[in-house]
Amino acid sequence: MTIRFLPGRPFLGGAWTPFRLGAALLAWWDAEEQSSFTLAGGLVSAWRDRVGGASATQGTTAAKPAWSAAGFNGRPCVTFDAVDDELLATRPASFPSGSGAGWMWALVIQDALPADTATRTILGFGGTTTATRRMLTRFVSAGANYAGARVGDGSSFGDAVGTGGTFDGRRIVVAKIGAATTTLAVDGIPGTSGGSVVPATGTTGSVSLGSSGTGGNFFNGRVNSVLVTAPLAAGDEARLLAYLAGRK
Amino acid sequence: MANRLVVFPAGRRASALAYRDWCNAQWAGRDGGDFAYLRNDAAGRWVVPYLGPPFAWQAKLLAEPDGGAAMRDGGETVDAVAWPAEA
Repeated sequence: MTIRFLPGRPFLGGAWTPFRLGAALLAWWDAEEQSSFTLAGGLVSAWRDRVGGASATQGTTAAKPAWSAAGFNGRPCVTFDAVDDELLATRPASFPSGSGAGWMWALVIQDALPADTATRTILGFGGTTTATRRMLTRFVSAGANYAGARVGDGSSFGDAVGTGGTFDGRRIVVAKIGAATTTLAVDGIPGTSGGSVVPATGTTGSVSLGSSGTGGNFFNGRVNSVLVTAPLAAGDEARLLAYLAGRK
Repeated sequence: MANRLVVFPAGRRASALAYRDWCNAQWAGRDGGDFAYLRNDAAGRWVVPYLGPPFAWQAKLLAEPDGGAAMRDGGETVDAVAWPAEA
């Protein structure tokens, strides 16, 4: 028997990790992989995804988020300051565009209080405007924090909404963007409403971590992992959810 | 991170640019890049990150360099601004 190691990927003989998703795992920015980072004075200059090496960078010092070895309930994370921190990467060609389906995942601590009513973005990619972009967001409605998925349809956008009041503290949030509808779940619990939007996602904009990528909506919180996957079968979805829950 | 911001009125772009350049001059040599850049908030005012606490560098709060207060003259130091609506 010949055992072959894939360059850039860990050996898959042990416990389940997201790499078991194979080609369905499109990107994974993992704060627990120290070799993923270029740091300067504790600030993140670059954070590389573990799948294709897409490097999310920030060259301006004041806009660099901070890396912490134990800021996520004792585990590593990247902290975004809600003021101007963001990391930007070239959009991987493997990411869905047009009406192509794809899921956006994040394991985060959402630190913004409901008194802060600004919409804040964990992850975005697609085109250069909201109308052509997909975003995983936090927003406030009726005094409660919600997770949201904002999907551009070419001229405007639609939102899928998580369950109200649950997007505080450590959470696993996933936006399931389909060809005609989008749903959102927090810790595996489906949201209160879906978005009936046909995505018209562009390919010219950058991937943004910690902002909308269109000039604001800076995230207030700590990020352990951000992943982009193809739509997953129920078994793989459950395994990924369990894997991330093990980091909470 | 974490930053505060200095906001200059829309008619004070030159002051904002001067403050940005001063920040970058103070920062030169530390990180191989600039500290700050200039952008507009939703009201068209000019925004530059504040070079001083609570910004931390190498796990230590960074004191504002001498002369900073004079360079910020005409600007207001705030915790956050409203950024432009998404396009």
